Amino acid sequence: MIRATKLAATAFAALALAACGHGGYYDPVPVSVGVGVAVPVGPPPISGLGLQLTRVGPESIQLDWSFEPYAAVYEVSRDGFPLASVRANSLIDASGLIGDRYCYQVVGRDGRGVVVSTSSVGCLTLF
Amino acid sequence: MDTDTRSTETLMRTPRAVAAGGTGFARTVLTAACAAAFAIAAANPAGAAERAVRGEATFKTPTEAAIARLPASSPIPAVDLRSGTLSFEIVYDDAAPDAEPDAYGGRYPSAIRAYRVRIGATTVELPPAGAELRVSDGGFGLAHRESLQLLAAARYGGHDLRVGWVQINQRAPTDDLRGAPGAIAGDAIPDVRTLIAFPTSGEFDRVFFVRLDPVADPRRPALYLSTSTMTVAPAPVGSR
Repeated sequence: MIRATKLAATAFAALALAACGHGGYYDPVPVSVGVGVAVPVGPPPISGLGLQLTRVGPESIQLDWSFEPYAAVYEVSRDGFPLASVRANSLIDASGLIGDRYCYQVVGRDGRGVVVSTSSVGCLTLF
Repeated sequence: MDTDTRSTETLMRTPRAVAAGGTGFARTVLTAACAAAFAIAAANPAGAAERAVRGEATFKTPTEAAIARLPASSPIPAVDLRSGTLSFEIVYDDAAPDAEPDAYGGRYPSAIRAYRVRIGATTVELPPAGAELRVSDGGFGLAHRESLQLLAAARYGGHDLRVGWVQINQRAPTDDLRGAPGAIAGDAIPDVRTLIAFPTSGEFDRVFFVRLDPVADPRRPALYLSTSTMTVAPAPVGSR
């Protein structure tokens, strides 16, 4: 009876130590560590933004784009030039002129200013 | 023998005489038949006929503030503007005459036979007299831009309801799309397949719009809807 109690106590202690991860038991599974292999640490992958253009007035264009969780700010460019920097997912450009064609792109940046998302270029003609 | 010879000559000669316009009655019948055939051909050249297209689209609903500013004469109730869905059906005659003498700009005020727009549960039938089909093969001073426009308008109180299906194809301003270089070769009404699958210069250059303009100041519309999210297909003409 006493011997059985001692065995149970020993097994419990072994399990408890193993659970702590430092039980002093030899781990039979070998762990290989690469030597001289550099692990690249680069910028986060850039995701796509869905861009939608809608004419909401004779000379007004509304831009709507998809939400990007890592973007702190969105930079909107028109014809390659900065137009606005906003935190929302929508913008109305009321500075168009009938007869002209405008091309927009939206780029999302995180809090450090790193580009995390970008849209394709969308163009619209004010007929 | 002589008699037999004459009879034979007479029988043989008769068909030749009719074919050449021989007897008076036959000539009259032939002339009438030719005139009828020419009249039909002139009215319906190269299989010209009424065509119909039907489009379905979704649109970004106006803000509640914009809906609240709708005039009382608006033919489209607020509840339908909130639906975000519209459809249109246009019947046109692809043999209508061009009212624009310019070789690159076609204006067809008699082409559209029916123009119907449905927004939500409300259907608006626009009068053909206020409708027009326009084809621009790089014309009107914009040599780098082609367009197809099916437009209609009607007056409701102090406002004009204007609708249009507009498709634009353009390249750099230095390119000349007139004639063969563009998607269309002239200012004639294109066939229905080209009309539906017109290669626009971008997804947002294919637009259906609905606007309600104050007659006094059309530059400040009381309502402006526009969508590029649409599908258009041929429709049976008899579906009116």
